[in-house]
Amino acid sequence: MSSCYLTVVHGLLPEGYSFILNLDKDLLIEIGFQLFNTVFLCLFLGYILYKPVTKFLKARRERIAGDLKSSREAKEQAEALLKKYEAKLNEIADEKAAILEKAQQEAAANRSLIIEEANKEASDIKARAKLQIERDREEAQDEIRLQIIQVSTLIASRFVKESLNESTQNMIVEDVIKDLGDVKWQS
Amino acid sequence: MDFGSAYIPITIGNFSFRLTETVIDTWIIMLVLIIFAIIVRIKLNKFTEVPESGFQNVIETMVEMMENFVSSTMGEKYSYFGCWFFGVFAFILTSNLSGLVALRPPTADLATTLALALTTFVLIHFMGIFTSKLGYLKGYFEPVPFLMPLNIISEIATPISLSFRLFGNILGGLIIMGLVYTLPVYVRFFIPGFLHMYFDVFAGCLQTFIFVMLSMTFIKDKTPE
Repeated sequence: MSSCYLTVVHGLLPEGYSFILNLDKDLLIEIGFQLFNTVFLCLFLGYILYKPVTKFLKARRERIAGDLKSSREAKEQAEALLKKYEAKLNEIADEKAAILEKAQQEAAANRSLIIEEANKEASDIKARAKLQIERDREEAQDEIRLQIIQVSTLIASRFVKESLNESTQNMIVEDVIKDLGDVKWQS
Repeated sequence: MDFGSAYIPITIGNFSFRLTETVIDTWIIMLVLIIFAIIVRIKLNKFTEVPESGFQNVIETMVEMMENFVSSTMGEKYSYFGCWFFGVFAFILTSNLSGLVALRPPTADLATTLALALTTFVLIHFMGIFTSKLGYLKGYFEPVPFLMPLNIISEIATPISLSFRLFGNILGGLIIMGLVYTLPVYVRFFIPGFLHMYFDVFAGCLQTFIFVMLSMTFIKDKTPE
């Protein structure tokens, strides 16, 4: 089989020369050839293919490990920041509640004060208004009284003018003078 | 019927040797693998962070599998052996699969498998001396000194068993395939396809794996934890 194959494929090896296993000097020479071939090929493949590819893979692994490490650190930092901000938010919420409570208390206090002032002002206004009403009423009474006097005087003078004669007038004058004398005595 | 490796007798002065079909096929395989390695080396500069091409995926998978294989067998400490065993694995696998493209697998020749086993043998003892110093030699006298010859035989048996296992399996497949190809076409019909799948692909991959794994295990056994 092999001779036929060699004739076809290699075309350089003659027929009739072949062996399976000869433990002789030629085997040692062939082992030498194969040893050289093997060592050369293995070292070549090792240094030209395997080593550069492993170096590439190692660099990538390290890069990925570095990225993972930095991601982990960034995550830890983010979590720490989150906790810090959550604490701050809680503080702010507490502070907000305190401010609101204080504001409500102040507002309540202010409201009472305002209401009190308003009541006071209202009562002042009311008092002033009452006083004014009293004054107006008195003024009105005085005016009415004055008008009554004037009207009475007018009526009286008209009556006197129309109904009194000279003797009656004299008698009245005398009575008045008499009354005036009594007044002086009394005083 | 001839299942042997053909050769051209060559004489240079007083020195004569055989230029065998195995050596020529090895050169063909070497050429293919070297061209492949150079293509990978050139394309490596264009490899992206996230693999985008099938080629990059295949290369990364191959190398990562080898890295994991070496690390799991020899430990992380000796993962640098991947550089050597990647070449050994690629060479044996390509040699075993070369039967599919009508080449005579170089691993069907004892010279190739013995050469490979000798490299393992050298690495075993180099690592033993390098890591254990005198303790390594002391190991030959254990558990009792008079067993030293047996220990030496056992050490010598390692490359022999490694090389003959691979050689025998691949040559056996080659012989069976050769016999099947002698059958008339109307009898053999689908048979060679299945047999190629078994002897070249299945047995080829399996024997490659066994050779490399045993080599790594033997080296690891000579090194401290």
